[in-house]
Amino acid sequence: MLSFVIGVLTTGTLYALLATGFVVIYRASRILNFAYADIVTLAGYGTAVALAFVGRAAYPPVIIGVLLAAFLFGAVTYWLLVRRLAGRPPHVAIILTVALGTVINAFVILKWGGSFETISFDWNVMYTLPGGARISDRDLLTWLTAAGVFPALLCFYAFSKIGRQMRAVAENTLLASQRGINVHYNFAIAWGIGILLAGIASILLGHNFVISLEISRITMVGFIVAVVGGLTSIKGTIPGGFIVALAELGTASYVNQRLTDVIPYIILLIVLIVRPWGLFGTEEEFERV
Amino acid sequence: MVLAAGLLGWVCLPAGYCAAPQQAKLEPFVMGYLTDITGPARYMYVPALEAYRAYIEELNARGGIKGHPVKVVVEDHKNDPARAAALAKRLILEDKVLALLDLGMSGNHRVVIEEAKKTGVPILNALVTACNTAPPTPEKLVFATGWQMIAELSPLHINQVKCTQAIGAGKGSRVGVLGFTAPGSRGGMDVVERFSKAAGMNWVFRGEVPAGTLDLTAWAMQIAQAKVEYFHHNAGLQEMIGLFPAMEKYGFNGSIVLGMNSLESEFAKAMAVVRGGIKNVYMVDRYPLSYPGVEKDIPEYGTIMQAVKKHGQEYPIGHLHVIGWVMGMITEQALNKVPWPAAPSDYLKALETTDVNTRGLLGGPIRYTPSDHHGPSWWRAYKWDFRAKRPVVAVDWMELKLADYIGK
Repeated sequence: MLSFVIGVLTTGTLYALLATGFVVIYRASRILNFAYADIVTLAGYGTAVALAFVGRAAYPPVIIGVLLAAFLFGAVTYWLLVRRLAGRPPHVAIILTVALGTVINAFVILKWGGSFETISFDWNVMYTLPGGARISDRDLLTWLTAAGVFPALLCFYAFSKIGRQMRAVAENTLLASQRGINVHYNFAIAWGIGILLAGIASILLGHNFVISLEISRITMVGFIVAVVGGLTSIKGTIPGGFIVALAELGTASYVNQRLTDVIPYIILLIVLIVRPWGLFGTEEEFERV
Repeated sequence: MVLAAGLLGWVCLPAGYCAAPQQAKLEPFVMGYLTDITGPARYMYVPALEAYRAYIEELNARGGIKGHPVKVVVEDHKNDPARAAALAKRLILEDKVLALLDLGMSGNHRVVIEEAKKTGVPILNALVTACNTAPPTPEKLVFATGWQMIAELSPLHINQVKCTQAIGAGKGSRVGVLGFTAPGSRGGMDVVERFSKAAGMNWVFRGEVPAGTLDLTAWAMQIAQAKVEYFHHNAGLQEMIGLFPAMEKYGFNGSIVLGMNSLESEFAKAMAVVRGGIKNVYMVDRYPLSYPGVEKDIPEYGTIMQAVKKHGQEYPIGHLHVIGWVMGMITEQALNKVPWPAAPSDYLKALETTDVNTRGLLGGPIRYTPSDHHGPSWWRAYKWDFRAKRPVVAVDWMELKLADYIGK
């Protein structure tokens, strides 16, 4: 049973981290970024290749480089592409993200040919708990990353000047603009942070599982987690992630393995019917959007 | 450089790649090669295409068939059955091909077979064949060079069970299998289960995983809890990378047997995630795996390496290239038997009398008859040497005649 709980904790944490990138971008710019999954895949392959090139022992500069590149990619994508669509109907920007995702996906297929890559840091530990359950370095790295990312993100929004400005822009873009806040700058930072989070999630996915074209499927589960938690709520991604992971692993372990793929979508349907604004979203916000 | 080559291929291949020599003057024999070139399974199918193309280029350089060059029209179905059907129709009706080759993953086979039936164009499958090619009543137009994967009779899965017996499994041994939630995979698992039970083994686990699942924690827990001693992995390489470390984490310490359907280089990556808890991994294959120095043991491997390098290579040489090369051998022999101009029916008749010496690549010849489109096959089991990071032969060529297993 404890093994099952550890599995849920690790998978749920990964889902929450994946969902957070969606949420950060959506709550700032009100754009569902459908290129997100392909960006996660690209970041994963980029990390694996860079680690293979410089050697696993030199992973700190590689990780920093990948995350910096992810941040810049997000900010530049907003500045060069999405910003130009300001004032247009929201679906135009969404179509743009679909097109961007398709281009990235084609690039990934051509460059890596659908091959599999893994990300390893030469940290190989396994702790056995009373009762026989085991915790591996993969579990620990995932939990420790989340323990750093979520407080940092919440503090950023609560205490930093740019974080408060981003909240103001998310709350009322027009009013924030009239008060002298550079809206596009804020959106670009939000896109940068969102894609940086995608980079973190991709590295953890590659460390726990594998980098492949199928990552887009697990990223789709991240989107579902974002909806379950409330598309504008960062803290909502945490219970959202655990709910989906619990349902998925519980179904695979105790009900029927064939249903595993479907479970996240059943949860999505239930949430959309019962509480479409998600666990931590608000009805007012939902109506406004 | 690789990207540039890939982009070039992407631009050129969907429009139809043609391999025909400059010096040829007579009209060519036209073959249709239909597979996944830019889709998700390209790494499994492009190597065979590289080798087939190289074989045909070399054949044309030798003067072709009775002075006629061989032209290969290549189409990319991207693992999309609807696209595969449309492209098969185009190859048959517009390009007037004598035969269709490869077809890629099994999901594309049925729709293409239906198109081929309308005009009687034969099909030479590569890695997998998702219909009956066994005696006495094989699918009329379809010939297997790799694995026939159907629930009734799958030589790969029969050999997986034979492999477990060869490495020590016997009556009472705890055996399990994991495959995909897909009909083809279930069929393979059925065969493993049936033959394991028939051998008196203790069947303790059977699981299914949706293709593309990355997190296999739940399955790993169940495999470990079932105390499986001999585990058949019939899901994919990607699932393996997620599964094996999780199995180690939950205390699995048995032997693993799997059908080898990936590049050797990719398989090595999968083995790199194993951290010492799993010690015995066996791979069953009809084609010889590549390892440093393989060309010394099998000189024809060296010929493939040189030809593929000369005519265009993206993937490291391995057993998937051997499949394409052997298809080239079969093509050459069949074309030598047909008249000019040839019709698909002539080519079908020629295929039905195939007897190709594979020059040490396989355990024996490729041999077809009108009532047997699979022929005898020879299978090897390799063991992964974790220290040397390469496969070593564990059980040498085991001959399998499908006729011996019909009805069992």
